Amino acid sequence: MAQRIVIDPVSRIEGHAKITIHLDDAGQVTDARFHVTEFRGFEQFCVGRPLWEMAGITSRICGICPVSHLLASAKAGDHILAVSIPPAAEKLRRVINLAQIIQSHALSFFYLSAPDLLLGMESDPASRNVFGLLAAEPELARNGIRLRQFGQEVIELLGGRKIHPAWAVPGGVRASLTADSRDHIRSRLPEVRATALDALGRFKGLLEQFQEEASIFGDFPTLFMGLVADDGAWEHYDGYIRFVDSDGKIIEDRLDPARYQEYIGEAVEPWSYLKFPFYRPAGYPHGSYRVGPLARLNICTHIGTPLADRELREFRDHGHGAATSSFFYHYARLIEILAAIERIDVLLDDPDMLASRLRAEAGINQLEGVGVSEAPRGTLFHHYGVDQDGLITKVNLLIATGQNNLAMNRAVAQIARHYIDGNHISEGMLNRVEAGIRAFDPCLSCSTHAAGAMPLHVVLVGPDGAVLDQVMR
Amino acid sequence: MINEQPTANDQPRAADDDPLPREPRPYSFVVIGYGNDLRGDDAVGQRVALSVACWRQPGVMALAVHQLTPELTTWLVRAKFAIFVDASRVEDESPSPQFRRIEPSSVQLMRGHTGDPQVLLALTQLAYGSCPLALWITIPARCFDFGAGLSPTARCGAAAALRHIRALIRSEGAIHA
Repeated sequence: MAQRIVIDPVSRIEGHAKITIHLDDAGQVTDARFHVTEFRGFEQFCVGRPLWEMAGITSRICGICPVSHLLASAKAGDHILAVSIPPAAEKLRRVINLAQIIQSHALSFFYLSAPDLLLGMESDPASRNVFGLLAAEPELARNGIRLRQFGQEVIELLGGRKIHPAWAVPGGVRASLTADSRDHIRSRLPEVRATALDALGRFKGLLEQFQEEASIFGDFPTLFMGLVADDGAWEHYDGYIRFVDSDGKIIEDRLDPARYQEYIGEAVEPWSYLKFPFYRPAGYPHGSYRVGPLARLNICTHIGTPLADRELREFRDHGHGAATSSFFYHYARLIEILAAIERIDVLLDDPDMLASRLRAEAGINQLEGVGVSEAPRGTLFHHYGVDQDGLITKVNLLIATGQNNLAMNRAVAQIARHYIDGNHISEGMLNRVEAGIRAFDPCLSCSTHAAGAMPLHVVLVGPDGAVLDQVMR
Repeated sequence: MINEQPTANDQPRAADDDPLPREPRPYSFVVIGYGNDLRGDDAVGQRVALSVACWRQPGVMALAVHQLTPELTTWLVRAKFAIFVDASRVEDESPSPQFRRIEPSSVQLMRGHTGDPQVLLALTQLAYGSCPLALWITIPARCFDFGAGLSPTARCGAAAALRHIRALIRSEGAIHA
């Protein structure tokens, strides 16, 4: 008889989801799905709010990556005001985005995934957590905690608070760094740089023992997408959209991020609240593409800082053109932490860090605007329509995690088919399925906002369990 | 009643207090108020912490946070005494804040990136080999609807909690009036 295995909830991820694994009569996996079971709905309830509130409201989408939404929203506002923001404001926004990448990646690696990687996929689940990590690797775990704390501290020094800072606004930012704050951040750079390099060294040392996972955890050809700078360098705040294929060949370049709807479509499925964006020319579901750290390292020509570029060259030995295994998201995340630390180091020397001209003043000059930046988990689009008074008339949020949805589902199926045998199921096998999802570091709280487009199935069940009525859209 | 109307800017900035453990215990008290500041009475812990920050007492660090995350261990390890302040849903007519001495405990494991005060103490103990003495104050709360206001019950509870915290700080001689 056909069976179904349900992993509910998926643990050590941001948000709520479950995985279902379908088995045939022989106990072999026929299919597996990653279901996102929570709904946020920001696209709907932001309608009618003033544009000026959007950065503050949308930063509340997430407690892990509020800065990403803050920046994408402020950039959509810049577009609607039709302003070019002061150079100092852009540089300061870059610093806070780099800090956001550091703290979010540190959380993903040290708190959520390192227990699997350093203690083992089959280790005792009771200690496969941050406690177990501290017991086994106290120095690494302590340094990981301090690394995340550094990222949050930079955010607080700029934005006034660690999470949900209402600091970036349409037209610029509210405040610059003080000289004391700048010097304090600079004083901590050697420590966090050493932590990043140590973690990278440790991870590379583990690759030998995780060869099987690297070949099974979402290793398949897809496209990769993200922002690159004018010269093709790694970019996190502005620039152009580039797509590469799994051979590393550029298939689209210098695309205008604001015209994303020309090359990205959005599909829905009845079993998940998470949208399924796809590369429009390839259609759905063939147009699967990945975003985030792995994609950013696959699409860029170089990073532009010495230590990170050295690591990037080594990273590229693990792929033929592009690194296609989602297991390497972990690796890419650590390289990006190093890149972000180096970039902050460079930016701190800029006199604009202490500037006072930080905001372009303007009214509503366009009725539509798109703000795009690289969130830790990938390219983030905020698309707003406004009326003449600046009240929001429509919102479309294209979130990084959603853009990985097709690949995450394919990865779950690939892992389940390899590890799950219906006649003998161990906790370690199921943990590998979860770990495959953790590699993407999905942020589900960020990702489920579309209402009205999702298929809906409402079932009215009587006290005896009988289905009294049902409605499907 | 809470007299001050604190804002985020009243919090000591991080740069004022480098969390690098140069001194073993530079703070007499670390007060951590936590909860969602947009869900009515759930904000009461943060409001208490912000009020303590307004006192600007030497040797006292107050932190208003949404959740208890592992990074807070970098502050706890530097304190002699920790006070956690949270909201607690109540139904009875005349509730009072509960004050409870707590010990480290990892029974409720930190599975993701957040935990409760006892878990955070246990994490501090494991990471640094010691943790502060700790008090967990839970303030009666009735309304968790969306919004930034506190119910009268939560406001009264916050005032009582603040009196207790002030008395504790005075008893430790941390106030140099």
